[in-house]
Amino acid sequence: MKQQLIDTLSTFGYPVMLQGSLLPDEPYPPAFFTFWNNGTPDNSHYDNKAISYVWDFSIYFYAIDPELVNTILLDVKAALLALGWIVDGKGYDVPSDEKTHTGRAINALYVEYENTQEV
Amino acid sequence: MAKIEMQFDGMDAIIRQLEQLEVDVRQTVTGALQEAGQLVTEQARAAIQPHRRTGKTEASLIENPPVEWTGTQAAVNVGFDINNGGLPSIFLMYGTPRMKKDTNLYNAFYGAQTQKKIEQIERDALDNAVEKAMQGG
Repeated sequence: MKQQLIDTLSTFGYPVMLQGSLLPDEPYPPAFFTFWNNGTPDNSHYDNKAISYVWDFSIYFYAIDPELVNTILLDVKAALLALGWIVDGKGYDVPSDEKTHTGRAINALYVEYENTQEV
Repeated sequence: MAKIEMQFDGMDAIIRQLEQLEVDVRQTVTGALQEAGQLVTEQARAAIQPHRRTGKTEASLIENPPVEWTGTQAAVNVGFDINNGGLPSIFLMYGTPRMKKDTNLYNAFYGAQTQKKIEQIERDALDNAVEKAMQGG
């Protein structure tokens, strides 16, 4: 699911990286996505075995343009919903290391069943 | 801070049942939210420990947060008081492009397991109140 998320975010044309992966002296790109997997707990069990899991991701977007920050995650939400993800709400503000950039995030879940292949 | 509300599938039906049984729904809901708030506060206290430097962030954790009612909606705000030393918790919980997020701290509030536990507390509180009322208690 991680690769599907990265592939989906990449279609928007901005860099995609792991949250916290930018070096201390590395400049922020003008606009970019980051993401983080908050966990992949069991979702349901049968016969003492997990048969489904919840992939829980936070998706962040940072940019100089605050309007873009406010709108792009809604487009991301639409793209993920079309792929069967669960995305609740319209997101929330997150802190940025750089005064030039603002950030916003949204949470996305995907229920993966044991008999389905990870993409 | 994070807001915990009473919300799960089938809740409305149980609430109606409680009202028919003349149970004090407000008191039951308040108790459940207090318990859920306590759970999250304890988890957050444990999760902030590895970041202890001055202890200010930990000290900003709101103890025994009150359940607040707005009409028929109840909620409890749990977490760190960002106006009184809790601001670093925001950076830790969400991370930044240059700082990894602390998944344990984040999950103490928003993790799937935490949400399941909260739902179970709420469901149990209402179910227990129905059972008690039906037994004449």
